[in-house]
Amino acid sequence: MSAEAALIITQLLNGVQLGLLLFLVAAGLTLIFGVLDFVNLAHGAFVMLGAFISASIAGMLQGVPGGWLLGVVLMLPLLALLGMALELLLARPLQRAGLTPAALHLAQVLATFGVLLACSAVAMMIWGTQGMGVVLPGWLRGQVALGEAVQLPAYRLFIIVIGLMVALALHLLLQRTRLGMQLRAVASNADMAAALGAPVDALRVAVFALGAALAGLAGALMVPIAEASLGMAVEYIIIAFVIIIIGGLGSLKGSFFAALLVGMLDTLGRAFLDDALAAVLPLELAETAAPALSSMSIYLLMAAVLIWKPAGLFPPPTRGRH
Amino acid sequence: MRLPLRGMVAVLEWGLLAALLAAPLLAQWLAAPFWLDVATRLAILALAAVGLNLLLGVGGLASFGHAAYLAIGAYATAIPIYHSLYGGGGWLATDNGLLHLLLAVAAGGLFALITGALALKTRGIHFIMLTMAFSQMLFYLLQGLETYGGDDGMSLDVRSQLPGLDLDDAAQLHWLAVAALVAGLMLFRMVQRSRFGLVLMGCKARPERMWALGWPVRPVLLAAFVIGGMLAAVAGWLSANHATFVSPAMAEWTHSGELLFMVILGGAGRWLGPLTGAAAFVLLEEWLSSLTLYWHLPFGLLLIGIALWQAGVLQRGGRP
Amino acid sequence: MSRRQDRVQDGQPVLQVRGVRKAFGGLQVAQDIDLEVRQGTVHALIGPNGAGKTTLLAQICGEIIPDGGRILLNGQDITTLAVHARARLGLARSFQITSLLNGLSVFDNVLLAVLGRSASPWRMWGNVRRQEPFASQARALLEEAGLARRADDDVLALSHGEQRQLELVLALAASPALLLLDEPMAGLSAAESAEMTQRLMQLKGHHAMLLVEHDMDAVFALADTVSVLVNGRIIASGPPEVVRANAEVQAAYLGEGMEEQPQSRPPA
Repeated sequence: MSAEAALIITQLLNGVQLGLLLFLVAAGLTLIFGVLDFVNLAHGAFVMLGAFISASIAGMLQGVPGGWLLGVVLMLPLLALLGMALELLLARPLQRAGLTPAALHLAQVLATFGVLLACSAVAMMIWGTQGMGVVLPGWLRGQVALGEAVQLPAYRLFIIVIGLMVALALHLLLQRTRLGMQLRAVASNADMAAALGAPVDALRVAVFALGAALAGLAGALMVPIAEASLGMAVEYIIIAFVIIIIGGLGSLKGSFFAALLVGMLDTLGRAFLDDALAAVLPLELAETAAPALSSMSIYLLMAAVLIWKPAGLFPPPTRGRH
Repeated sequence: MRLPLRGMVAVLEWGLLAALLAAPLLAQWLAAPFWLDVATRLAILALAAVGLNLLLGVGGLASFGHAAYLAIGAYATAIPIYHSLYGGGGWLATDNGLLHLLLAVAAGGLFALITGALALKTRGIHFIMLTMAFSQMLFYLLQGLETYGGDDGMSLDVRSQLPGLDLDDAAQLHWLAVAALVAGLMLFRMVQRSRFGLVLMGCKARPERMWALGWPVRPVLLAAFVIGGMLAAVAGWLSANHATFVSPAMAEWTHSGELLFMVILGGAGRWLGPLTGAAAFVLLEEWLSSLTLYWHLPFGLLLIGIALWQAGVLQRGGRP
Repeated sequence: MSRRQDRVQDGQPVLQVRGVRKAFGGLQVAQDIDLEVRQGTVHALIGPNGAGKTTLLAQICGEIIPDGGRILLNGQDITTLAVHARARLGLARSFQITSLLNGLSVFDNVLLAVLGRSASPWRMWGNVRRQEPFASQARALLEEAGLARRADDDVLALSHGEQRQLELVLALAASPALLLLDEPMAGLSAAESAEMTQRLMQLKGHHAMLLVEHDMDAVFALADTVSVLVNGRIIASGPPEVVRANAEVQAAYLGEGMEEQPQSRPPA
């Protein structure tokens, strides 16, 4: 295998890894929107808190075998509790206030923007403005050889495995279980589902808990790559929204493919766009244009998708029809 | 009970406007130039909020990307100044403030026209998120402009040159900002009472019915979107001259959220609402950040409170 | 189509629907529909729920574009024209579910309807509520409908009956050539329904009307022509008494699997 082909394969795998991380963020967001019709700008704060909390626990358990993994696992119930609190204290009262859909969404946007700011401030009080890293266990620190020329850091492979497992688990949960059936019923028509005996209130709480835990997991998995930082709260929410809009608001399948698409586009753009541009532009111009263009590429993708399909790639069949 | 409250709000709002007009004198009298700075910033933000008020309050368009126009207006001022001082830039190089204003309005209008035409294909939450994404796109575009400071932004080494005005004089700059704000408020008032304003309100209420009555809904909304963007671009022009600094962070979506906060707090669709909202925001920010480094915490809680209050949740003690 | 009863009708055709087809996926919701509404007449469209009445109305007013066939308004082809452009050519409609401009006053609703036929939306100066002759026209329409004293109220404050009234005022404000009435009696009490029938009677002769309605008393009182739509196809069309006696129509309404029956006594 040529070195170039190996590079391309490595970058493709990096794209998949980023895409799956983004999927973890987007999945919670799209579930919460799809099932509960709730716009959660504070979702990025879950990502940030997941990162800081897991890193803190791992820090306390330094030297304990499996400390890092324990930090990630112990963080999950805490984030789930936070999600539940958001549902009970904010989402539910707003839902029951009897607003028009437009006014309801605006109120949700405003309130969760407030939650985001408050969470960021609290995080700054506790952890300060510095980033926070973790020490990975040895088995995740090495490189894994895939074929003769392609080497991938074990940790990236780990993320790919976890991401795919979560995606599969969510798919099975929604499509194969009674709980999933009830969730889908609530998503398509909450009143009808309630009339048919689905425990709508409990389901709402469960979805918030699940969504927050998924976002926290994404944040925790990011720490070894990019450190936990305050900026995560505002950074990832936008990308996550772009993904679920591309995929079709409320569609888990849509956000899975859109996340992979975005992860791929972003990674490959960063890796190859300057060379590609240099083929058609003067070198200096290509070098300055490439980073901006690759940052913008996902937004361009979103604009293109929406012109082509205003409801996204995989719009859920029921929403927006009544 | 309602009338006295409305009367009080009216007194407060006209008082605010009077205070803004007199701010340079007050600041000199109290020997507190810092407060003049705050007042100028207030006037500029209020002008941007007036533009958003036209969209949200009259047309029902919740744009979450309105800060982008502040950045556009500011860069439309900073870039020509940079080239006029350090060469290059061709026809862009000028320190003429009127040309800066023209460029700001044209660029803001163009950006609004393109992104608005796309975003208005959608409604509701899609529209909110699309406008947010477009402003984020601009944010990355500005970050990529290495010549103009990239990530860090750049300082303006001179201010816009205007005939008969010296913008280096804080009082003159302030009065210019207040004049722009008053002009913006009057424009808003005129448009709101006009046929266009009524059509816009109809589009907010029920687009299907407006079609059936013979009104072209999307062009009307797009026109409002462009006007709102242009007003904020003017605010950006003033902001660059006020802060003598521009940076991509101006376009960040959190600033768009703050503008929405101002409009909603002041009462969406109310003529002088943006003035009250901007005053509340700026004064809160100054006050809270002087108390604590973590001023986002009380501010965030306040936002939550306002959202719940407007939905009527707090008044009922959380009961439906 | 063999069943079409030709009757001598005065007046030019205002609306002509010719061979209109529409399918959603594999579902044919309109199959070769022919329909005509002549000046000064009322053409009623009846049929069981799900027959395609709403889809046909949506195609006539432009919310849905047909797959094939043509729609003419006063001889002009409007098949692919935008909704608002059709309205400006004189096509007005009332909505099945009351669709007033909530949050606006009764007067503003009517004013927008009066302006909608001819005025440009781009006038950004002057007080629209004082601009003549439109403001006087709006006031006169409210006076005529007996809603003048509610002029400054939000439309949400009106009673259901008043809202249906206003709905009709909005449709009529621009003196349209053709009026599409989508179940104007829906949700009205017997007395209100009779009143609405009375009001439509008065309008008959002034506007051509296409009436979609389940209230058979109203249909047979008002219509000059009745067409019956079943499964996207017109199975009968002609004068009310002829259609009423038609065996196929009775089968469609009284036969198996139909969720709905005419609200009045079945045809004798």
